[in-house]
Amino acid sequence: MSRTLTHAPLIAASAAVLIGSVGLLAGFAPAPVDASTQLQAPANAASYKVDSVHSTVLFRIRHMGVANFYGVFTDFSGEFTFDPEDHAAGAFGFEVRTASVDTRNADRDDHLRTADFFNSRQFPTISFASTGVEHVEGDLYTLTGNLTLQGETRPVSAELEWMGTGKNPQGKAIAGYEARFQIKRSDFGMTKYLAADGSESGGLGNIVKLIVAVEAIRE
Amino acid sequence: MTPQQAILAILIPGVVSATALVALSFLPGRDRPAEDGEGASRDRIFVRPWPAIVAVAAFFFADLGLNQWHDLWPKDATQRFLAVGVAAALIGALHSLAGRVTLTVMLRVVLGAGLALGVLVPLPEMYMPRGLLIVLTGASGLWLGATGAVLDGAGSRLPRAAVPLVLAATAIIAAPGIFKSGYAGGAQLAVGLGALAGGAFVAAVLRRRTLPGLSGLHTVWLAVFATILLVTYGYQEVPAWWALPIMAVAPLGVVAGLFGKHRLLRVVLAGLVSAVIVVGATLAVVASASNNAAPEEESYYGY
Repeated sequence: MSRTLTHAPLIAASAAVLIGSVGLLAGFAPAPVDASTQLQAPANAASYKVDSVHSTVLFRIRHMGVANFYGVFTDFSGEFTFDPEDHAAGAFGFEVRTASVDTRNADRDDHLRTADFFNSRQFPTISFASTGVEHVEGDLYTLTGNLTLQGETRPVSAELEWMGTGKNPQGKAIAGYEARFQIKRSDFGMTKYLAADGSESGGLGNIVKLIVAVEAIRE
Repeated sequence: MTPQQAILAILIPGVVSATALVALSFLPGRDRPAEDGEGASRDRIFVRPWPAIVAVAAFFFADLGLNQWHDLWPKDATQRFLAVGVAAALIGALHSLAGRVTLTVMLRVVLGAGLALGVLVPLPEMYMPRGLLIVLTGASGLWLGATGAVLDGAGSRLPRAAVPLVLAATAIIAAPGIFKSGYAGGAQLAVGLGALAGGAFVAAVLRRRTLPGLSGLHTVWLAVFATILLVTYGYQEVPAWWALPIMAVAPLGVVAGLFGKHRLLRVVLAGLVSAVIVVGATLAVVASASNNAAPEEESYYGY
């Protein structure tokens, strides 16, 4: 009997362990850092729940290096607690359904949901949970927090504009803000149609501006 | 695909594959037919693991060109091609070294099942019911074992360039179908895989000497191709899902249809091959048409 055959069970066992590990890794891969949008309300601040009918999540990306392209997500939710007098205690969170991407072209929207971009089946949401709010001037603040996209959670910051408070026609207390994020999609593993050098010159740019304009109803 | 990406994802894999396999064929040692159906030489055992490693090295450039530098095991299950390629290369090198048909089939079955789990387990149950997951895992393992055995067998009986040509043609014909399934990245990877096999074809044409260990290259090609098909099926809203199993049997069809012993089988499988080509060409035309539509047309969106 050949020497190779003698070693065959050992080789097979090694390979089985290797492949088994691959399968196990898939099944039991560590879960992403929790970026839950469940917020801890400060004692004196009002809590608000996003009114998605009067709110917008807009993104902007460079196309072919020559133009800015805009799209929206139509399905999102979120809440926040904020008091300008006690801004440091403010907390903001939202969750966007990636399958709700809308770029005014059904074929393109289908493509954006696929593995080429958002991989909506594996990663149905983009979520944000704030970790801090700093006052800049007037109604402007710097919002810091963790953004989770494609299963990757990264610390990000946004320019937050506090729009104020009021009452809607039903007499309910409402408030609003606009948060403007700027991220590099490559940081989150989204590299399709990206220039080799990670610049804005590829089919699609690397920098994505995400604008979250919220009107919310006091809970 | 930008020119830079085309160079990285298509040209370099082809060149790496061709030059490395040609270089390996110059290594010293006597050629003698082996008993394992690979046409391998017992005197050049140290050469055998290398075609598998060459294959994954070539594929690395395709993945780099299309998916950038990333973790070997990214959280995104649709980006695990390189991990599959590396695992396949290790297994391909192992079974090429051992040179036993039964061991090769067994390892490939395990590889096929493992890659299916690695790609499909992260899907929520609403998209991948556990029963379907089990079926696809088993099918992937059996497919990789059976198709690999057919390709190895054909490689030992047919002209050396035949199997690499079949692999290159299959990958390139599959690309438009995958593209039409909404997975442009998978289609581009398939073309890169075709370039890898094309390089092996060029090497086989240039060098008359039989290179041992090509079964390892087959393993890498099959594993990555299976992964592309599984990602296409599992993660896309596939309008042309029926094309995927046809693509899966295409290598078998080409080999058995064109080179099989039984006349009826040859006719049937040659017909199947023709169908694959017709389907591929049709989808290519449809995809091309939708991609070239004018902005005012409904089918237009470009990229």
